[in-house]
Amino acid sequence: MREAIAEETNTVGQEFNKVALDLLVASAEELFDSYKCTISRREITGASVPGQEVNLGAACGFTGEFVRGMLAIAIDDQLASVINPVANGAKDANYDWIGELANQLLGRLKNKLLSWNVEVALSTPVVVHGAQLSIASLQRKAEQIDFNANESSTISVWWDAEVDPALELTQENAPEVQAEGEMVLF
Amino acid sequence: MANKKILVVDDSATVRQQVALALSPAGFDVVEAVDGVQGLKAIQTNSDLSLVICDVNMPHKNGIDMLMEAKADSKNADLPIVMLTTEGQPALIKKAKEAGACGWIVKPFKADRLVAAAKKLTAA
Repeated sequence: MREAIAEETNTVGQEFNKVALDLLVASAEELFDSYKCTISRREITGASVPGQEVNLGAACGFTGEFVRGMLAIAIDDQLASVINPVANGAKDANYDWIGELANQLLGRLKNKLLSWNVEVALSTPVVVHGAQLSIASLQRKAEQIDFNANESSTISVWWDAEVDPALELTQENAPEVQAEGEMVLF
Repeated sequence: MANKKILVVDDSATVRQQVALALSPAGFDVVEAVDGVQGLKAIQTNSDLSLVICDVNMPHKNGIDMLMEAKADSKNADLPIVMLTTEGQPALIKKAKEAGACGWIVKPFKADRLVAAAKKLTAA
């Protein structure tokens, strides 16, 4: 019985994660594009590339009726400064910025998940600064996706979701979501 | 004639600066608050506000609760409040509209559109 439940959880979780990771890649590409930074997914994750190492990170939690977990993003100081819309040279300016970037990335993903009838609420971001940042989940292996940005920067994104086997992943009757950058006056 | 005053409520300093950088050159004075608690205080103490731009997900008091409490005070009945957030789900937008918000913008925002909206909403 326990094995059957575990298998069911695993299947639903795998299906959800496949959808979520595709949406996450699209969300990251759109978000960085909106800050005039073109990124491309790197097929081999965790591989070191010449250039800056990721040392500035932020994590946001999410929770809903059927899924919960966290998203984390790490970039290097140089890239953070390049895409910071209000970069003013202050050393700590990028700390707030990486938190907002994580919030906007997860917010974008959250809105895309609504098209699959998956609704989650977000926590406020937590920012960390260190060397060779990496994320490890205690229960599962967090999914890691790396992107190349500009010529010598890396963006690492981690995704860790716990999925209730009762989740029904469907796009039927999904709500229409207001798009990013869109403004509606009532 | 004095510049019109706009309050921006967001826990991100980056977003507050971004909004100020967009609105100040257009002739608006921008005051800031870091969450819904400070936002409410700022609304009470700045009786000359022409517009409030407010995030939704913030610590201490979120933007929807701040909106509802602000609008519960009849003095703020005519004060336009626009939500600026990463959220885009219709149920939340409907809730904000019913609570008295006059607009909803999904981040990241476009500066020219924000300025256009601010001019429209503050035109008396």
